[in-house]
This record gives sequence, structure tokens and C-alpha cells, in this order.
Amino acid sequence: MNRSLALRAALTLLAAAECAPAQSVDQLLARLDQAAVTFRGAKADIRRTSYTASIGHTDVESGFMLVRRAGPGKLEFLIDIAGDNANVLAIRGQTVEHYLPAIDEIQVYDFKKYRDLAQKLLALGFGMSGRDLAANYAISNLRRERVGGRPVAAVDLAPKSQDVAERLKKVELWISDEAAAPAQQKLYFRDGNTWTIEYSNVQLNPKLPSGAFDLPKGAKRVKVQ
Amino acid sequence: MTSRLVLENLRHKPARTLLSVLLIGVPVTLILCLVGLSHGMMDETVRRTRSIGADINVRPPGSSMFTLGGGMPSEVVAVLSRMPHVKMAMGVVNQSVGSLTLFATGIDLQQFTAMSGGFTYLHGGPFQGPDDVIVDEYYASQKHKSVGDSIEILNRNWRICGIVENGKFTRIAFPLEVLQRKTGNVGRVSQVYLKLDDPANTEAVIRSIKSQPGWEDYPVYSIEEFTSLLGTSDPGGLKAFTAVVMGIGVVIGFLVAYLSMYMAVLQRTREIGILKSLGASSGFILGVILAEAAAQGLGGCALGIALSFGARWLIHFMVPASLTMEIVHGWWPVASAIVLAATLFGALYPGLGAARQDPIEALAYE
Repeated sequence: MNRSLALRAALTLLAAAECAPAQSVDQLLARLDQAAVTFRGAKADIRRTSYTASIGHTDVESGFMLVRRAGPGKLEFLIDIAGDNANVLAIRGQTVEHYLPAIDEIQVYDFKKYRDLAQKLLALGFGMSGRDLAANYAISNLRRERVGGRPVAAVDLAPKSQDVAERLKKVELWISDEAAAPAQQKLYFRDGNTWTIEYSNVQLNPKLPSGAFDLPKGAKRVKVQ
Repeated sequence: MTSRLVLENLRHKPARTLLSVLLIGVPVTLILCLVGLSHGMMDETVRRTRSIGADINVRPPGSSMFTLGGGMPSEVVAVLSRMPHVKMAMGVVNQSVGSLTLFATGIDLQQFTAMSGGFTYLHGGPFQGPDDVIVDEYYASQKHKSVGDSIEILNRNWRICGIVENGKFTRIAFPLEVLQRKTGNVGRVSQVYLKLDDPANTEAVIRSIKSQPGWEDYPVYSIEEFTSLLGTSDPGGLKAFTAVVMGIGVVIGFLVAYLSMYMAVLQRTREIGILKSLGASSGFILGVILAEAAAQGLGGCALGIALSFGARWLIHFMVPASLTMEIVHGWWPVASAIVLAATLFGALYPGLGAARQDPIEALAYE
């Protein structure tokens, strides 16, 4: 009985230690490094709020996203947006496929030119390691906040790469205490526009059907220059 | 004497001469076609843009690249229309239609008519419903369609409600909200065109727009500047392709001349021996060979230029809406010089071989 209690207490302490809120940037990065090792994929609902500074206009889109590790340093994404502007975005390697269901067409973009930029932006998302984050962004202003009622660690990120910095002034990143995964991101573009992306119902390493990342087979494919 | 020899040599083997001329002509035609397509498509786009009757073009800012569709909120149109000196603002949506050079445009027909004077209808009339499309005469001809016919565009069928004169803004026009819905751009536009109270205010209005907070990153151009930018662009990477074809032209011209003259020298070994025994110098022999190659080259260039007219007719007959080709006279000497130089260079080696031949050995040659 005592042994069982002791074991339970030890497990509770261990669990508490794993989820302990980061007190310093180093602790936060260490948590992300640890989570990145076991990361195989994720599923989450997303809500993107776009703000256009020139006209003070806000636009909201929502849907879900899937991400999986396809190999060392390789992540694949599928972002499915619902509503009036329903569309699906599949990002694999250097190719971005944009499916428009209203015309059953997949527009294929070659992202070779933007590969570095895309990798640095994607490093902000699921499966990111603390090492990658620190390599690509100057991290500051660690603080404790709540997103969707859940406790999170928030940081400000300044892009180190000139390529990214030309487009992005700053990124705010909220990392969930529970899962060491992003709970929210806010991208501040140079022109004053912002994107706020909120993640909810996050499932880490979920079991996904093999065709979960496939776009409709019969859709017409068009290469966009 | 030389010219007569050259003429007789060319007439002696007419099939080989004609084949050489044809093969030398092909790269000339290819170069002229690509340059003609590049000029034609650019000039066509510039003409169409000017036909809108706008003074200023506003495009989405740099951050819109992350949305892939590349649009900006439709509210931008209303904000711009309220700016001083702006008489009217029109937002449009563009969508590529199965090729790099053909686009469908979503327009508000009433606004478009107010800004540009409207389409000139050859058959039919404006949109009657959400399934209607207006096409220009070239697109209708390319697709062999008439008013009332069903046409597949963007993977679904539409009814052609009107066929309009070529040259006004777009070849394929949909109601704005229809194309917005089909392309996942509800509430967004690809470009905004502004018509001013006086075109003289263009620069002042551009400065005024760019000085507003949040507008600094928007590409805002006068239509003159915009069309001149279009003039320097490269539709479908044609410039790189033209450079490749020029390279191929050089290689083909070189090889054709080399093989043709090599064969000619082999076949005429005895003749060369006779000429040399009669006192012809090495320079004379080389001159005859090069002159023959030059004659074939010139014939090839003339044929290549003539074929480029045929190619233009064929393009206009087969795909008038997708491709526009112009005859660019300025490129005739350029393409000809490139291919002619390669031809002469190709004839040099067999020519030197002929010039070096020993007359006794040449006379004994069977």
C-alpha cells in the first residue's frame, strides 16, 4: 500500500515536473527539444484572424490542420479551411498544393525559391525543436499568459534571417504548458498586417489514416508559375 | 567565276541544297517565332490594360504572398474610391485558365462599363445569370463556340451570353462575385483600378495613397508605368527559351553546313583536283566552299523569315486567344546573322580540307 502510494506520488511529481511552466527561455527551449524528439505528428483545429492595417479590416477563417514528420527535418502539412473560401493547402517538401473545391482544381506551386523562408516559418509550428527556434529567432519577453483558458508560456521572436525579417517584423508565440506545442501564433508583417493563428483540440501523435494528407485524386492539377 | 561555280554546285545536287536551306531556315523561324510571341503577348497585354480606361493600378501588398490566392480585402476598393481625385474604383479577380497566358477575370459589369466604355458585343449581350460568361471573338473562335453554347472553363460548364470584340481588358469575363466564389476569394480582389477626375492628378494620388499608414507596401502604379513594367516582363519565361533556341540554332546551322559541305567536298574531290591543276589557289577553293555555304545560309534565312509569317498565320488560326505573335522586323538581321555565322563556321573545316588537297591525289581519287 505504502509502496503503491509512493509510486503514485513519484509519478505525479514526474508528471508535474514535465508540465512545469518554463521559468526561463532555456527551460522553455529544453521542453521544446524534449517534445520534438517524440513528435511524429499532430492534429488541431485552427482559427486564423487576418488584420489588414491599411483599411483596419479583420477577416476570420477556420478549419483544421494535420502535420506529420516525413523524415529527419522534414514536415508535411495539410491545412483545410472551411466556409465561403473553402480550400485545402498541402505542403510537402518544396511543393505547395492548393486545392480549390469549387472548381475541383489543384494549383501546384514550386516553393524552391521560398524553401528557406518556409522552413523558418514552419519551425514556429508543431514539432519544432528549441534548438531550431533559437537558431532562427532572437527570443525575448518570456511571460506567463492564458490562451483559451489554458496556461501558456508566451515569447516574442525576432527573425534572425534577413529573408524572413524583410517580410516579418516580429512573431509572438504562445506555447501550451500541457503539450509543449503552440497554442497561438501572431505574425506581424512589415506592412502592418497581422495574422493571429489559434490552435485548439490539439492532438499530438494521433493515429491518422494513410490517405489523410492526400488531395482528391480526380482533381485537375495546374502548375502555377 | 566563283558565283557561277557556286550556282552550278548548288544546282548539281538540288535535294541536298533544298534540305540544307530548310534545315538552316528552321532555327531562324524558331527564333523569330519566340521573339514574335514574346512581343505579341506583351503588346496585347499592354493594349488590354490601357483599354480599361483607368489611370492607376493597385496590387496586393507583399504579405499577401502567404495567402497564395494573393488577394486583398474587397473593402480596399471602397476606401480607395473615397480618396481625393478618385472618380471611381473597380476591384477585379483574375484566375489562370489552364495556361500561362490565358486568364479569366471577374468584373462588376456596370462598373467596368462606366470606367472603360464597356464591351463591344458582336453577338449576344451582358450577363443574364450566375452561369453566364462573356468571351471575346478570339476565344470563341479558338473553342468553336457561339452565343448560347455551353463551354467548359474552370472545370465546369457555363453558358456563353455574349461574344465581344477582341482587345478590351479580358478574353473571358465572369460576374465578379461568381469568380470570387469559384476561386476561394469571397471578399477579396486581385487588383484595383482607379479612374481619376483628371489624369494629370495621377502622381499626386499615388503619393497620397502611399503616404497613408498601412499603404506603404502596396504596389501602386500609374497605368503608363504599369504597362511599361509589363513591357519589360517575360511571359512564360520566353526570353530564356529564346536564348536556348538561339543556342540550338547555332548548333544546327553549324552541323548542317559542316555535313553539307563535307559531303560536297568528298563528292567533288576530282573537280577540286582539276581546279587546282588549272591553277586555282587554296584561297579560291576555300572561297568557293564558303560562298556555297553562305548561299545556302542566306537561302535558309530567307526561308526562315518566310516561314515565320506562316507560323504567325497558323497560331492566329489555331489558338488566337492563347497566343499572339507579331512579326518583329528588327530581329530579322539578328536571327539571320546568328545562323549565318554558325553556317560559315561549320563550312570552314571542310573548306580548309578542300583547300589543302593535293591536286595529283585528288585527280586519282575514285
